[in-house]
Amino acid sequence: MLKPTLTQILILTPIITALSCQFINKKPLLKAITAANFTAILTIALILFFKTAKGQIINAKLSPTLEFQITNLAATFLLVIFALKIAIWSFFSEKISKNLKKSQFSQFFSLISLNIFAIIGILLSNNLIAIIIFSEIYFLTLFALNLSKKTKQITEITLRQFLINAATTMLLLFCAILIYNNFHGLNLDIIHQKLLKNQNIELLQLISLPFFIAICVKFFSPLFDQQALKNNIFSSIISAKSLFLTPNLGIFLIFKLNFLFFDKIFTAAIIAILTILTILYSAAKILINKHLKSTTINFIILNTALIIISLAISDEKSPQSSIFYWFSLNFIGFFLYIFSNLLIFRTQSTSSDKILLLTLGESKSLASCLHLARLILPFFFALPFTFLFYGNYNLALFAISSPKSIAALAILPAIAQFALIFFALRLTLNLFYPEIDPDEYDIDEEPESEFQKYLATMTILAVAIYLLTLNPGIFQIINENFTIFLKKT
Amino acid sequence: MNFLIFCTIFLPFCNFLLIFIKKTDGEIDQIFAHTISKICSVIFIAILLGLVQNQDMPLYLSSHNHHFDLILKANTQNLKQLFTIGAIWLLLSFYHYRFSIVTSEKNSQFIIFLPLAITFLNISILAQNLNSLFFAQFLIILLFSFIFCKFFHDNPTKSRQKGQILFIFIIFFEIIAFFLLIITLNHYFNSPILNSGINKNFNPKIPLLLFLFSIFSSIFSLAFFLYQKRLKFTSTNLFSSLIFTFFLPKIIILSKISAKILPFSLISLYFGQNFVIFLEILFAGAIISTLILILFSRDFYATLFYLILNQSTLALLAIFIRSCAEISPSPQIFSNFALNITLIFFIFSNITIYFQKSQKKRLDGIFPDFKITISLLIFALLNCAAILPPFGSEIAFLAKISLKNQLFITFLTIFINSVGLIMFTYKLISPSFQLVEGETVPHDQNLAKKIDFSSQLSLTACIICVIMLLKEIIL
Repeated sequence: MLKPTLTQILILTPIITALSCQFINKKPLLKAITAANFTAILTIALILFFKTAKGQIINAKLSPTLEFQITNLAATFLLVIFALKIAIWSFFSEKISKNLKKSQFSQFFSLISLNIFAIIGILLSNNLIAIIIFSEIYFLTLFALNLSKKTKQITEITLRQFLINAATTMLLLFCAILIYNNFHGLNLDIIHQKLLKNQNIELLQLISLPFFIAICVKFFSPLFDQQALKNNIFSSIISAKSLFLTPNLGIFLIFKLNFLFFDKIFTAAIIAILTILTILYSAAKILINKHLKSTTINFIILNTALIIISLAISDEKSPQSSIFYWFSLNFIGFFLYIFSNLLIFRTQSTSSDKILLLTLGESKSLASCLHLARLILPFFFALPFTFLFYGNYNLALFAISSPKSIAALAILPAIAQFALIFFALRLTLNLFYPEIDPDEYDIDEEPESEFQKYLATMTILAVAIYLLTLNPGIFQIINENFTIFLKKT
Repeated sequence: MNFLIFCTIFLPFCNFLLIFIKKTDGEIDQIFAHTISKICSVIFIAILLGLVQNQDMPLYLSSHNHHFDLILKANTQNLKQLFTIGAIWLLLSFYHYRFSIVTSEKNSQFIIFLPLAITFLNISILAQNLNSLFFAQFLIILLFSFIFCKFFHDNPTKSRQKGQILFIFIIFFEIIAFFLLIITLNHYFNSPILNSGINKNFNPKIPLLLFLFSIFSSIFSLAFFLYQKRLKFTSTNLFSSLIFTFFLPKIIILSKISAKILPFSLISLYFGQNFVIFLEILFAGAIISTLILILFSRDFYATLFYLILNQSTLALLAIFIRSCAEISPSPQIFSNFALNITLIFFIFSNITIYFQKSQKKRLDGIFPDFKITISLLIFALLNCAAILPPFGSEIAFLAKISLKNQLFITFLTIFINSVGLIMFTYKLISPSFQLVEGETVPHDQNLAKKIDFSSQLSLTACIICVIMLLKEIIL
């Protein structure tokens, strides 16, 4: 009897779930199956993380194009993305399902499972065409999910993203065809080996920049759309996916395909220039803007750009800073996102001046949420010993170690640090000694259960952040494996 | 791990946490806060006595990637500074409780910020490498900017808000400059230990510029910014934040880095003597402009503020000149400055209490009723004017070395400052000895005697005076 491997279970579970959902119409059952799907994937991801902890790589080939490779990097991303997905799902599932018609249930839950299948495919594929196909499945299911509530604004934004996605897919396919013609295969390991032997270098020079731009536009352009979204529950769901899930996939692909982009000086230079402009733009927006939602978006853009510039420097150790930025993006960024959602939920505003209004009313959960926000303040300041500080410190240190032309890049983490300190000070002033008069405001009481959800998520995040900061064990495993992964590639 | 060093840092932080947790409806429980501060400061001094015997063991706090380790260690020099801090903490806890009751001072966050500032100050005093200094400086600057934004202005107008933001920008630029400084030096020398110095076979131009910018940019802009009116001069927040989160940390950092890592004698070597003269002119401008304000100010409490600025700039100038002359900075500068300024604060505050509660608003004929306070005031002001030890001996030495090294602008500045402060002392004190015509109000007389003989208001000031005079023997 054939014994299914973990990889096979991981890939097939969401497909089976998606198909099963088509035959079930009852909401509780659909929810239960989806929850079981999530749990199974998270468990397998955890097992794979520890299995690959010492640098092992697990290869699995299901067909000529379905080549899967599980590295510690992929397992880490899988773990974090699914943890985020579970958090987003637990937040918004009630509200989403209330707004769905009965006939939409099966379709909706099937799409979720297919979306999960696509995410797993992107993270585990070791074949270029498979990555492109899985990316397409991911975005198509994402757009379909976004359109489950058809407001005018959401439809416009989704259509725009669809068109951008289509254009970038064409570009990626074109690059893939060129690669196939020259390398006679699309397995990433084989392509990398041939490049190391200096075969087909001219082709790489031609396609690396368009390839990189296609991936960035595909996975990061939704970040820039979030500002326009109105403050309601559906926009929040779309924002969550566009701010965290999609960029994480893009970052993973940049890590995985870094040998295509950053080995050539010309390409790395262009990428560096574009990233520098992005860093300056997002830092300026963080400095100027008082709105938490806007700050969260720009915080994520800033971290993403800093990850890319860390890789672009191409020093042996500089990618270490990118792992710190990645942790900051997911943990601190998500905390900020949850907090801004809480503010919107309570005050229908994202202005940080209104933070005091969170203390109005008798909800103890709400008061606890404010205390948690105060506890996380050192991370917003990028104080020494926090992720962001390590990222800035390492990036600046490695930039200075590089040739003179790149040494000036040390100013970039300094600019990022400056913007973040300023933002964090503004937040601190509002958290401790705010200036608005609460008596001028009359806010309705919401049920305690609503605030408990926020409190639970913020507590888990705060504990995770402090655990990772104070206990470097898990962090070091990821860091070492990541460095080995990049050296290998 | 050196547990005593850990306690030195942790104890004032615990003090802060306890007061913060005990806040009810945003108001500080003053009795609890002051009691716990007194207890913690006594324990702190006791721990320091233990550290005297246990100096050699450092405290290491290593980071994830071993590039950013903290090393803290006690030695004779920094123990003296810690004892000074401990003594001031204890005396301020006693003083402020009585002061806040008598003046009904509202919105004073002094008692909660003071232990927090002391925590960060202790880290910078005990720091043995650049990373530790940077860590402390970062925290201190954040605390200062927080207090500055919240408590310095009374209903700031839009232009003052813009000025505030500009000043905050400048002090944040200081953190960034310091950040780039440690990056540069760590790149070349891999986390240099402060008292062992660094190999100077590299071009220190950029590190020097970063260092100068990180220390002096906010000082020269602070004076300019704070000359605006409607500052809350009567607030103890102003005193604690300026002293504990602004000037004292700068004195420590300037002393430590200019001792061996980046001595200012390199400035004339790499930038020319003209640059040294330019810096001298900046110092001279700051000191003399504050002196003019002291002499012509009509607001009594504002005079205290200008005096703090004047003395602080003088202390920094002392370290700067010593470093230019390749003489290591004296640990006495820190202790003398801290004690002298605290003494002046106590005396000025006592006089302010008197003005608030009495019908008299001037010092005319007050000496017979206010003997202790006026005597202490004379002592403190003459110390500032460099006539009396201990600060006087330091300034005299500074004048001597500036003459020897042909830093004539500094010599002139010191001379003018001393003369100016003597004139100020005369202007302020002489009316108190004059006989006043008309009836003396018994209430005013009793009030003056009460303040003069109050254990918490005057005895604390006397103790500071005694410590200043006997410092060398005690330590």
